[in-house]
Amino acid sequence: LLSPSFSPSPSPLQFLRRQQVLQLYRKILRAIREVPAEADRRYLKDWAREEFRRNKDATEEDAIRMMITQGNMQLQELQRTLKLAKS
Amino acid sequence: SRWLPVLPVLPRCRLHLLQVPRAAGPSCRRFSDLPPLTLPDIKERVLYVLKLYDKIDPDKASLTAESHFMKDLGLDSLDQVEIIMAMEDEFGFEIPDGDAEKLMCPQEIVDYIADKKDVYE
Repeated sequence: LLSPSFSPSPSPLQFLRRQQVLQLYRKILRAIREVPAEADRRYLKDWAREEFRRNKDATEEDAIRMMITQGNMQLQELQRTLKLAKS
Repeated sequence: SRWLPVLPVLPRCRLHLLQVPRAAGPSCRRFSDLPPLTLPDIKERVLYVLKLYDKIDPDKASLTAESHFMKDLGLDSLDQVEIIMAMEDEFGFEIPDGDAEKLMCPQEIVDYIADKKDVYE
């Protein structure tokens, strides 16, 4: 889904999923920026990179949708933890 | 466990270390009083950030201002996200998703930053 060249031209749904994944990745990286300790940031960035890369060739709609949902949940968890740390 | 509310120390561009004293100016220097951005400045810093990126070989001659991240440098869209985030860190402002996804080579990034920062030379 995220390889540089799509094989045939992507369906509208594939295109949408691609956008969602990239936006999610960006949001996660932005949240990680807020983490106070450099070592923790490094760890989380490496974790996020590994997670997204590992799944980047997925093509099945159900699997992709589930991963996006899980990713969003993890993002919310991270944001919640950050908010607590700052309160 | 709670983290201490300490701001993360983001790496600062080395150019910020060059505080050029002005002949006649306010006696109190504010932290934001940095030398004005120029186009060559921006270009140098953009290429600097790219050379630091782990998926780009800094010594290869293939990295030019026009090198397309995907077609020439073999990067993918996840890499491109990381690159634009690094540019945000370097230049100190956020680039919205819609703009970020269109920046596909160093020159496009330079032009975008110059535009947002009102730099004309």
